[in-house]
Amino acid sequence: MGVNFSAFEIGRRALHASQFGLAVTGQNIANVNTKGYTRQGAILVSAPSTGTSRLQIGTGVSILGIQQFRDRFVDSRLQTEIGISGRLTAQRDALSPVDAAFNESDGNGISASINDFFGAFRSLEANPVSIPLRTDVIAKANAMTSAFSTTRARLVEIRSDSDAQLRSEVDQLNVLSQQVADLNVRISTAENGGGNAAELRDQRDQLVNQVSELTGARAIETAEGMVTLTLADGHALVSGDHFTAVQIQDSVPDGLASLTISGQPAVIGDGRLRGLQNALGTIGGQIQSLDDLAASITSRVNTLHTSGTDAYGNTSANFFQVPSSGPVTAANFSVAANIKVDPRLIAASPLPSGSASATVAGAIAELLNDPTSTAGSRTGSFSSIYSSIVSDAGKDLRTVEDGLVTQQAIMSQALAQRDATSGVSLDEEAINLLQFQKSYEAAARFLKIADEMTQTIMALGS
Amino acid sequence: MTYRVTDSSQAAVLNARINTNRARVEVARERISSGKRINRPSDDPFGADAVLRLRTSLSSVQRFQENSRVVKENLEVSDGALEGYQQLLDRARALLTQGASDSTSPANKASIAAEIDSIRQQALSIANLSSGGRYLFGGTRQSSAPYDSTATPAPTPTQQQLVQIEPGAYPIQADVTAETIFANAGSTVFGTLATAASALRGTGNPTADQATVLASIDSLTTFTDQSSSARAQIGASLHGVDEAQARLDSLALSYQRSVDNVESADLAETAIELTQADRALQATLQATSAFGRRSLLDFLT
Repeated sequence: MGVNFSAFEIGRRALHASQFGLAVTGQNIANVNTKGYTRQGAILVSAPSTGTSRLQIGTGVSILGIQQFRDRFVDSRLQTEIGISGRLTAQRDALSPVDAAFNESDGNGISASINDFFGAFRSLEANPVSIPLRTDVIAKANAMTSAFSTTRARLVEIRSDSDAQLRSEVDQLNVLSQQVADLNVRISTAENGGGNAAELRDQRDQLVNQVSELTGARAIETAEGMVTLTLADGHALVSGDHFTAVQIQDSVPDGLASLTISGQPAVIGDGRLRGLQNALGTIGGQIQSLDDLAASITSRVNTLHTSGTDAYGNTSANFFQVPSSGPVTAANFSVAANIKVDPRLIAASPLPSGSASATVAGAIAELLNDPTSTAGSRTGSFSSIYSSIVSDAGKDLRTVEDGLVTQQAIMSQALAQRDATSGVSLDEEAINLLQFQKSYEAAARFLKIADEMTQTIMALGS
Repeated sequence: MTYRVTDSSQAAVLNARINTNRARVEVARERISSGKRINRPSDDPFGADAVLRLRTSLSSVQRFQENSRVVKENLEVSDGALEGYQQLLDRARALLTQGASDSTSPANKASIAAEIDSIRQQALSIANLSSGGRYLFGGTRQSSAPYDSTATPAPTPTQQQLVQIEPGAYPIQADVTAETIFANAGSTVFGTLATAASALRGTGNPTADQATVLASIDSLTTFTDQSSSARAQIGASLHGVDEAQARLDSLALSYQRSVDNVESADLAETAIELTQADRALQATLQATSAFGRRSLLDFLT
C-alpha cells in the first residue's frame, strides 16, 4: 500500500461508521421496553475502490442507512392471532356476567323457583281446600315469574352494555383508521424523499395491530410503503391516504347496533367487534329461550287450569296472564290479576277417575317432569329445558375460555417469534457497544499511524 | 425455543406464567372455600345441567314425602276416630240389649235412652271431625260438613280423595267417606240411634217398641261391620303409604348423594391442588426475581 492521503479518508469513514453504529445501538437500548419497537441496525458496506490499478483497495466503509429487523410473514401472522385473541377476549368479557346471571349454585334462581312453584301445586293436591296452601301457590308463582323477569332484565342489561361497548369501539376503530391513513402519507413522503421512517413505521404497526385486534382486518403493504387494511368481506378500511368509516345503524326491533361500511353491511371477520357481535347474538338467544320457556309454562298450566273448577265451583280462568297482544315473554310473565288477590280462584278440583292424576293441582304438579313440553327448539320437561339453557350458557362461555387459553399460548408463541426477529436483546446490544467502541479505537489508532507515516515522509523532505 | 431470546419476550413469558398460576391458585381457593366444584355454569356445563336436573328430582321427591306425611297423618287420625266410633257402637248395642229386656223399668229405659242420645251426638261429632281445615270423612266435598247439626247428610255427593304420593305412580285413596261408614241403604247410624232412643222412651206400643230396639241392635252390627271394612281400607292405604315413604326416603338420599357427587369438591383433592398451584406460583415468582439479574453489561467494566 502506498502512503497517500486516502488513508485519512478511510480512517474518517471508519470513525464515522463506528459512531453511527454506537448511535443505533443506543437507540435500541433506549427502546428496549418500548412496545412495538423494531430493532434497528446500521447498514454498512465497504466502499468501492477508485482508479484502475491492479493494486487498488477499497476506500473504507460507507453507511447506507438504517435497517429494521422485521419479518413480514411473522408480522402478518401476529395480526391474525391478535384478531382472534381480540374476538375471544371481548366475547369472554361480555359473556362472563351471563354466567353469573344464570348462577344456580346456591340453590336459588329460576330452577329452584320452578321446582317450588310446581311443588306448591303438589302440596295443594294433598289438601285442595286449604287456603294457606293456595296462598302458597300464588306466592311461589309470583316468585317464579319475578325470577324470570329479573333474570331477563339482567340479560337485557348485559346485552345493552355489550352493545354500548360495540358502539364505542367502532368509534375507536374509525379514529385508528384515520391515523393509519395519515401515517401512510407521512411514511410515503418521508421514504420517497430518501428519508428514514423507521419510527413512523413502528407507530403504524402498532395502529394496524390495534385495528386487527378490533376487526381482524388484514394489512397489505403497497410499493409506495403504504398499507391497505381490508375487512373479511373485502371492504377497505384504509386504502393509501384514504380511510372509510364504519357506520352504526340501529337495527329493528331491538335497537342493537348493526354495522355498515360504504352503505353495505360490514362483515367483521374477527377481532373484538366480532366477539361483541357474537356475544350479542348469544345473549339474544338466551333471552329468547327464557321467553319461550315462560310462554310454554303459561300455555300448559293455563290449559290444565281452565279444565278444572275453582273453590267456588265455577270453571276456572287462566292461571297466568295472557297479554292481549303479542306473545308471553319472561318480562310480562305473571299470575292473572284476579287470582293474585283471591286464592279460591285456583283450580284444584278432582279429575274424572281413571286419570293419571287425582286433581287438577296434581296434574299441574306433574307438568314439572313431563318430558313432552316444548319451548322454542328445546323439548323436555320444564326443569330440563331450563337446565339446558343454563348448561348451554355455561358451554358457550367455557368454549370461549378454553379457546382463549389456547389462543394465549399461540399469541405468546407468535410474540416470541416476532421478538426473535424484532426484539431488543440487551446482551446483544452490549456486544454491539463493545464492538463499535473497539472499532472506533482501532480506527483512531489507524489514523494515528497514518499520521505518523505522513510525518515520516514529511521529515524526509525537511 | 431456538429463537433469539430477548428481554421483553422473557418478561412477557414470566408475566403470563404468573397470571396462569395465580388463576390456578384462585380456582382451587374458591373450590375449597365454597366446598363446591361447580361454582358457576361454565365451570362444568354438563355437571351444572346434571345438578339442576337432580335438584328438580330431589325437590319433587321431597314434596311427595311431605304429601305422604300429610296423607299418613289423616289416615291415622281417621283410624283412631273410627276405633272410638266402634267402641261407641259396642256400648250402644249393650245398652240397647239391656233396654230391650222386659225386666228393665221404664225409668231405667229413659236413662238408657238419654245415654243413647249422647252416643248419637258423639258419633255425629266423629263423622264431622276435621283436621287441618279438612273434614276427615268429607272426601272431595269439603264445602260443608258431612252431616249438619240435625244429622241430615250434606246434599252434594262426594268421592274419596285421591293423592299421588310417589313419582309416576297412580294416586292412592287418601281417606274414607262418611257415606260408606255412617249410612246404609238410605238410613244413617244417627237415624237408627234416634229411632232406638225414642222407642226406649215408649211410643205407646211396647211390642212394636221392643221390636224396633231389637232391629236397631242388628242394624248397629251392620254399621260396625261397615266401619271395620273402612278401617281395613285405611290399613291398606297406610301400608301403601309406609312402603312409599321407605322408597321415597331412599330415593331422596340417592338424589342428594348424586348432587353431592357431581357438585361438591373433593376436599382432599382440592387441598392438594391448592398446595400444588401455590408451589408452582412460588417457583414462578422465584424465577421472576432472578430475571435480569445476569446481563453481559454486569461483566463489562
